[in-house]
Amino acid sequence: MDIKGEYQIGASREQVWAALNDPEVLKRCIPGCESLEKTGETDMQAKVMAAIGPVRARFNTTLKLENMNPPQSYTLAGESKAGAAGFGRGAADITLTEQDGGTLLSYTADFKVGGKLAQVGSRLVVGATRKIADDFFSKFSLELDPRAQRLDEDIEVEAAGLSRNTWLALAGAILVLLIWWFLLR
Amino acid sequence: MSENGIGAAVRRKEDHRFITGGGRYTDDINRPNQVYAYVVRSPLAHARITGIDASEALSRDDVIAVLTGADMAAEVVGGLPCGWGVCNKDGSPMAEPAHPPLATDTVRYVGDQVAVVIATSRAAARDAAELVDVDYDELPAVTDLASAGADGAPQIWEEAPANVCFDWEIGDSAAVDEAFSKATQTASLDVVNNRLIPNAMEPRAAIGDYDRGKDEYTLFTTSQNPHVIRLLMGANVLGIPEHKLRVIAPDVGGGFGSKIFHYAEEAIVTWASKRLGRPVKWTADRSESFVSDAHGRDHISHAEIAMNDDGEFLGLRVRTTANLGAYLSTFAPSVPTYLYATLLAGNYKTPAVYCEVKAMFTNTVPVDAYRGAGRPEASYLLERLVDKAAKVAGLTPIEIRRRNFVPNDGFPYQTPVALEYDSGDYFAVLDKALEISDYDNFAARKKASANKGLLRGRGLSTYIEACGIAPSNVAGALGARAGLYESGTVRVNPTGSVTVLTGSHSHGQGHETTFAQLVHEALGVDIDAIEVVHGDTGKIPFGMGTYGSRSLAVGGMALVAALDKIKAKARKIAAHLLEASEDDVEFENGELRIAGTDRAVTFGDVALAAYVPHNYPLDVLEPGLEETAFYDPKNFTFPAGCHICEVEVDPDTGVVNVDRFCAADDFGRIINPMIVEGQVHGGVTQGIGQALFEECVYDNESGQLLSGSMMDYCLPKADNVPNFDVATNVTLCQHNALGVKGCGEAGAIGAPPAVINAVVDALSEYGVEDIAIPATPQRVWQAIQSASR
Repeated sequence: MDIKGEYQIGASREQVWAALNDPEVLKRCIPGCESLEKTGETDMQAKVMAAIGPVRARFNTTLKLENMNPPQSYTLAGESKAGAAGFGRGAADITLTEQDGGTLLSYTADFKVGGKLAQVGSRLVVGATRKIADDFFSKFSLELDPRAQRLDEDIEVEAAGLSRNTWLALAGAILVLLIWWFLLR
Repeated sequence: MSENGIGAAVRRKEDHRFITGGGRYTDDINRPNQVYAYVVRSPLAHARITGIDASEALSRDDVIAVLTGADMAAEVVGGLPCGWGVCNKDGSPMAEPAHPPLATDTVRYVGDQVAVVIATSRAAARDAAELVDVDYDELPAVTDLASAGADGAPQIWEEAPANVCFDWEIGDSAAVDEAFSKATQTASLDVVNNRLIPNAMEPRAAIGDYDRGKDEYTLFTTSQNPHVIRLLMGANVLGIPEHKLRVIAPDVGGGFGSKIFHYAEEAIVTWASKRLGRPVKWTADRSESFVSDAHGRDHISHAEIAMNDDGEFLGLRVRTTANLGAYLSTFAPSVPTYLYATLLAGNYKTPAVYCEVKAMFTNTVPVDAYRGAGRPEASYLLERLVDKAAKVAGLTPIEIRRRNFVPNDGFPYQTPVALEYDSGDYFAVLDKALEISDYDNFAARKKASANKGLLRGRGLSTYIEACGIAPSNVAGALGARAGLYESGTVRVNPTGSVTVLTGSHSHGQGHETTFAQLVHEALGVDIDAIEVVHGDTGKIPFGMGTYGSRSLAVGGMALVAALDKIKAKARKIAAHLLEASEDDVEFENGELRIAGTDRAVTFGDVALAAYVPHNYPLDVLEPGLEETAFYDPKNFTFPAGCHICEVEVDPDTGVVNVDRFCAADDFGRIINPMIVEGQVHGGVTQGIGQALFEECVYDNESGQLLSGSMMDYCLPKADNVPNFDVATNVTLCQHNALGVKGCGEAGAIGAPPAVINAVVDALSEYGVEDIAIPATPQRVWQAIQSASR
């Protein structure tokens, strides 16, 4: 499964790069992150509470920065163990491009789960991971630039489309109720 | 017929305790000072274990121990044994890799046991299991049959090159080739038999309890055959002699085969209870059952049938690949071989049959017997193929079957695949099914469905199964490493009540009622004064348990043999009491009477005299009235039947609704028709489940089980099945005195092909000739869409 996103951030590429390598920033931005420590030049150890479907577990996560190409790109690879709940493993390729006086952050992420997480949550993993990735990059972008914008709106568009239908259905239901009320009065 | 004797629909004696919460299952049992086990399972399908760090778990006050494969390997005798050996075509033995109860260096499926955490409560053990840190080096995995045999596929066992456990054959290949060379018409079929997850209502559980004073072990377990577990675990795994090991399988909430096998957890709790000096209890949760109970089915087959101009079968050729999972479960090798290929003759007089079976290891849960075990796979393949052959030959599904049935004067019938059918009337069960299904008025129902926008189809299957497993010498010649007889003890108590000790085990079948009916019929004792005891190696002399629809045909016959001995001794005692010759004493309706007179004693008088032998022929007869018999069947039994299914398919959604289902079965003599009907209902429902809903799915790349919960694995529910129309047509089994054949698995065997034949019939107007099983709405809808284009 591939999850993608693009954010336009009003900060220089160097600033964004520095933030991406700052454990404090990462800790603030990773949803459910309880602790995050640097254990080496490119290694970090984190504890993250996350829920996928009905399984809620604390993920002991090792993060590794790979393919370092400052300040343009790196790969953030993670491996999480959640004891009896199973494991998660993923990587995000992050690219920074100078654009419109700011920085365009684009990422492609991939995430796999195993054990009980896969057993009861496999259908929900795509959605859950997309949300986690989205939450992270949104928070991260806003951390650097309160007016940062997500550029690829496909997910939002999908969501809006859904909600439009929901509104229509709701309006229809209210209309029917009104007619009933009118007839039965 | 007496009110409570053979043939009476006696209400089940056990139901009162079950429906009032009085059942006592393994998890209801608690031993003093008991602790709880939780099994740490592999989240990976294939990996080397590089380290287990339990320090954090062990630092908790409520954790008593964390035990690993290394701990266990140092103390036990061996791994979980396989009870059936199968040979390759060249006569060499199958690959039989070791199966340690706790993995030592490598895990081979998601769910494989890695370590066990033992704590003061179940919750604590579970929480602590989260803290056990296992390091793995992941290895490539393979879960599906097609990939397992491919070049360069990940290797699961060194001793099984190309992942092949065995490559086996049965039948006369040359004779089949010749049949095909003479054939004027042929039909062929590629078929998958979907992998199933058993899901008994009660998850598995086990309590190990070691008594230091006596150096004795007790294992409480959810088993269909406690004596077999005692034998396998005692001798092969833990090295405990029989007299020091008692295995109790109390009330068990459904087995369907999945509780036949000796599982790792049984050995782990028994071993751990001695090591820790405390009883150790383990109970699976539902999620755990999905990855730790043996799965069922999982075949891919290609079949071809040769016919002459009249649609008479000349030869059948079948090539099957079967998935055994990562390890050999207890009876795994027998299922896709002797319980499958031997049934490929079906109800037909096909003169030549040849089948080759390649059994593969994959990184999945071990696969073993599940309700029907091999026979549903055979029946599904054959009955789908026969329907296809009917189309080729331009015959109706009924006509092609009638032309090929073993004729009524053809019994005993020797099939080309090892079995000898002793009796049957396949024409009569077919006619019975046609009658109760109102077959002739189908057109009107089809029109009515069409008016609702629904496609109605009907399908039938005629099946045969080999039950009453099994004649020990035959089974032994075929690779069984145990005998398959049964024992029964009839203990007449001094005041005339009767305790029956049977080696069969009831986990829903109603033995406490059916077996009591046998005793009542023989001795005339009130049915409420008969107690059937099962499931305890400490009480019952020996037993091989319950599976393969064997309880009545084998266990019941052992009881009959014991009852015969009781009757013989009772007549001797009565002759003494009546001062008559033994030859003149008749035993009828609970009385022993001098023939042709009104001089009689009751059976109760005889029982009392046997235990209070004041007036008793002590010089020639021992006191007491208790007899044990072992019965080894002379042949398998061969229940057969015809199932007819009508479905309505919604072409817009692909949803299949089973509208009518009729089962006409020949189970031999019926002891309790109500219980038989219940067994048919349950079996047919499971068969409909396989046909329309249930499918075990693995992700072939990662080896993860994707259908691992009730959200993803769809079991049939009450509103998925219609009211069943059930009838029987009896031909008696020729080689047991009761004339019984067995009924436990028939529904699961006959139903899947009947349902799928009906779905294909409904879709035939689109030109659909085949549909993959289970016929889910998605598959049906796609079949319609691709055919419409």
